[in-house]
Amino acid sequence: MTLLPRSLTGRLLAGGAILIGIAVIVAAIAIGLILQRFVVGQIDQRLDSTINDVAAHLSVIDGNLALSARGEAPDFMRPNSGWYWQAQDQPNSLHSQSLQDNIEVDTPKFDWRMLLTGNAIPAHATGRHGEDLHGRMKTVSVGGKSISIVATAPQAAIVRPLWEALSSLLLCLGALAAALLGGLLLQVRIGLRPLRHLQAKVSDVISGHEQSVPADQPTELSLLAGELNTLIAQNRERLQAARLQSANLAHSLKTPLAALSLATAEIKRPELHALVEKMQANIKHHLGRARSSSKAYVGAPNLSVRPQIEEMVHVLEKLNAARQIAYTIDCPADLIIACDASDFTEMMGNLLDNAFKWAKGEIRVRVRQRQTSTVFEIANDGMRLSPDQMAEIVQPGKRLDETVPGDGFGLAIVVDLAALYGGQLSLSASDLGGLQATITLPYR
Amino acid sequence: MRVLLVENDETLGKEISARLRQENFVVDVSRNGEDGQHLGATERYDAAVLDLGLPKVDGISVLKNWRADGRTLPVLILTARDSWTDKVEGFRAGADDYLTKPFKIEELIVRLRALVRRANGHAASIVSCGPLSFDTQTGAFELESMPLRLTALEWRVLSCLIYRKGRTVERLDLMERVYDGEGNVDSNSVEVIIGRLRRKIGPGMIETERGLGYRLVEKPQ
Repeated sequence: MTLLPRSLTGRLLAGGAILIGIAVIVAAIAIGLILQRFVVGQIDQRLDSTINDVAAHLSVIDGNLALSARGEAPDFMRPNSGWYWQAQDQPNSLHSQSLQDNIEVDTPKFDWRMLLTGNAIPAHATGRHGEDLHGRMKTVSVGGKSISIVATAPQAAIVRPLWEALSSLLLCLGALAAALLGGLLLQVRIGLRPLRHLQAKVSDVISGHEQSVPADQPTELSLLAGELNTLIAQNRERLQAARLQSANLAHSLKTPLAALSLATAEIKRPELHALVEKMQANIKHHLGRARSSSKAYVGAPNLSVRPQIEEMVHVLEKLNAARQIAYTIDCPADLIIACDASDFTEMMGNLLDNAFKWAKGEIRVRVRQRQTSTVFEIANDGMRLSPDQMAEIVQPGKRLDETVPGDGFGLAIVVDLAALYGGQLSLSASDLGGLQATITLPYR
Repeated sequence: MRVLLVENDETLGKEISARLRQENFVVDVSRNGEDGQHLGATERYDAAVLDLGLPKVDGISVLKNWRADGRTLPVLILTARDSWTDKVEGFRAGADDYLTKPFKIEELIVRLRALVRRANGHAASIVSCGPLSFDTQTGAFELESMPLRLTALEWRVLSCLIYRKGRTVERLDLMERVYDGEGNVDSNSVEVIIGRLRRKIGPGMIETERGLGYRLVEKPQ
């Protein structure tokens, strides 16, 4: 199991957050150490000058240590302040006013720095109550004696200013981290926007609103867009080739099948004739499915509806020339929809064919524009159907009257094609007396 | 009635032409678009049955060329292409009817007869001329409401005359619409058939226009 988030945004944000966190922690530690050195340096400077001042006023009188008068800083005068100095010459010692008793000093190891420079060296001391003291120590020679002078400061003198500085610093670093995270979020969102844009374009290609994805992409995506377009073009070509081949296969089968059909009718073998009809029905069904298996590129609305319907009605008038069918077409002259012309012709052809086939004498085609869709109503004055019959006739191969020419696949093909455009077919009783077929096609 | 059948499938072509001949049609068969187009452009036909997927010249081009040449013969497209887009394209090219394969031969015959009737300007399916009536859907003749028995040749001549009732039909025209392409045709035999018809339907109904042809009239003058 991987701990990485599934989304790219998540991964980029998690990676960025971890790096920002590490950077802020490292910065805090580094700045803290620098501050500590600075504060300790300040304290050491003060302690060293105290040691030097004490050393300058020390003398040995009668074998005992003596201190001539000197100005003392108030911290070294306040009892138990932690600010102490002590000059020791075993067993005698002198110490500051603030120190009630001697302090214990861990005798530092030999330090060559003191030997070379004569400067004080760090020393650790413990107060009367066992508190840790920050100390400096220097050994001086007074009157032939080696005197070690220790000056100390309380740990609080280091910790308090350090903490005050660090608390402000941490607040600033926190604010900086938050700002960086915000910036990162913004950058990730802006940075990934072309990907979301590309995804939307691919969706448009799938839905048939675009022919290809735009090639004008950021450098990192332009290669992907190019490959996608190649894939889309290949897919389209293969689909067309497959459709053409299935159509050719169907057409090449239909001609000998027609001959077979005529021959079986002649020799009066109804069972053979039924088999031939079943083969014909299967060819029709699967060819219809191959045609409506995917949507063609449509793009912007460009199909002028009224001329298409008028031409279809004209064709059906010719096909039904033996019958007197009156028709009305109620459709806005300027109505344009986004639909492939052959898909629209197939839907309208099948519905109008049914309307003409079953009409007693009247057909009405009405097209209405709704807020989100175009609605096509094809009504006739023919046979009334029960809801059960309506549900039955949209099934592939189902026919209510086997004596009327047809194959029973027309409505099933319309259902498939309408679904391809996100639309649907519904059947209802018509006010003309017969059946009304309604196709609803959404605008997009 | 003389029909041009342009169908490249030999078996189907033979089946269709045999059945059409049984129904008294005179049938010329062409198995490619080039020959079909030539025949349709040069010969006289009452109708043509045209396949679309043809060798050499496709059916739509054949039809467009006929229409461009001013040939008005009624054309029924008989094809395996059953999409509505194909049908629309067929009618745009100038087709008068469209039938998809596989089909019932009876439907083809009924549609062909209806095409020929409409092309001759008859809206109703029964064409009458005096006591004679012709059911264009079944092909049956009646004289004074009694069935009239005719041989194939007699039927061809009389149907040709009744479609053009009141108009003179040229002898050559009549011969072309009555005899199949094969075999020698003697123009005198048309006279013989006319003579037999006059005996069956009454002497005054078929008039002879000397040097021109024959005319079917309602009332003998």
